Amino acid sequence: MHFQELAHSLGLELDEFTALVALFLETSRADLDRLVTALENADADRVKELAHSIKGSAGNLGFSDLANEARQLEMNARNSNLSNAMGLIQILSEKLDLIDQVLSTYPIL
Amino acid sequence: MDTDNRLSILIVDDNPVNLKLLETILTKDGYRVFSAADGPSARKLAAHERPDLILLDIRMPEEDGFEVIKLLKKNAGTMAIPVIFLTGVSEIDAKLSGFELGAVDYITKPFHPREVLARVRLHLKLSIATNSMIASQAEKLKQITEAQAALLTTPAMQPEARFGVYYHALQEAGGDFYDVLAISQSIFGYFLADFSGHDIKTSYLTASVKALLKQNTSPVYQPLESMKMINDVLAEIMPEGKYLTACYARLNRKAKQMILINAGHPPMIYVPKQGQAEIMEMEGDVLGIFKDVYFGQRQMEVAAGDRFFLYSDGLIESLAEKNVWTQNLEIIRRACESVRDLPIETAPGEIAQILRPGAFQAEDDVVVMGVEI
Repeated sequence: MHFQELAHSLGLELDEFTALVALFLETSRADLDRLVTALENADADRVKELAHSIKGSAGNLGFSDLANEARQLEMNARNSNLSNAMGLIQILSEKLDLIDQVLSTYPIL
Repeated sequence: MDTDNRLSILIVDDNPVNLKLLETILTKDGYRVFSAADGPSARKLAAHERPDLILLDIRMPEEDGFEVIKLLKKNAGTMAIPVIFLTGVSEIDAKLSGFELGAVDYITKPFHPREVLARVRLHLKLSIATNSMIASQAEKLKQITEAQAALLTTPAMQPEARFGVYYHALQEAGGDFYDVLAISQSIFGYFLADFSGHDIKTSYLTASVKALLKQNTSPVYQPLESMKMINDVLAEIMPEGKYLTACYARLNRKAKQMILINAGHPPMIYVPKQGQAEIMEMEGDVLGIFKDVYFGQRQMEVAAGDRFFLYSDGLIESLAEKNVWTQNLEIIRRACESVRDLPIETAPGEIAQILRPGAFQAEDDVVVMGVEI
């Protein structure tokens, strides 16, 4: 996960990209919290929406692993299957932490 | 109005990361960017800022992209703005519905910034090429002035313009329209127009004409140029086959010079302080149909106390049954002459009274305007 490469492929400067990543982490973590709540309420529609949102922004920033996991969660929720949702949320959370670690190696702007 | 000449783009996406990403790449590419996270605020921004292009996410909570575009297309002020949808890969139905609702294109998510830029550029170019930019300029006018333009000026509001007016409309929004423009301290413009047919909704058109007059009659333009520019925009926005006839008198009180323009309208009447009144006959095309038009123009020296009368053809129509055109003009000429001793404020009403004693049976709108040097 080279931020420099990801930034370059998006046509962005590194600092522009890291600013986006910071925003991405913030919103995705908030989405994860909401996902947990939605799961507690067995609200498959809401799970689907939130997973879709994470998928979209992850995909656009080039975090394809994360986008794929979110996509899996969205698909399952669409089929009202929430059996493995908690596991997927856990994976998403770990992947976000990983991105956060990489981000922390760059100077805060 | 701001002076920022950059092309502007409104981005609508409920996902803050996507919104920020698009904002970053579009700003970098030189666009002025407005962002909205939901439908209602997007429509508000679109109506207020009139962006040149809108990137619209389809999937949003509450008011989705389809609903947003429907409402944008219903609003005269935003209907001409090209909309590009942002949609997921698999949403074929969404893409088709988007086109049906008037979107010009879609961009599939996840999107690549270079693709977004390429499509944005393409559609801005297309939009310019197809003149929808001109149209959207005109739409802007419509919206901005809709409220205020319903208001017709009065001699009391502009005493320095020294005019009087008689206005009788069959309906709230009549087919006749007049305006008085204070172009500079000593230069005034007097405009009177008649829209063809009452079946069309003319209220927004009168608003456009009022705004166009305001914009295109600055001292740097000759009256003929002003009328041609106004005609070009009207030709874009007038409904098919509809037009207006108009006359425009621009008076320089200091230089004692009057310039008259006629666009297919009944001739103005010149009543010198002394001597016989004169029918100012001029050829001229109507406004709002063709771009390449000819208007009659006449320039003349005037003196204090001279008067000009402008009127709509409703004034003639009440006479039409009995007489031929030239006879009617002669009747009007004499009526204008006969009110010489009345103040300019009440002269137009008296002319209408002379020519149309049964004003309540009027079958057409009537407006008579008098100007005194």
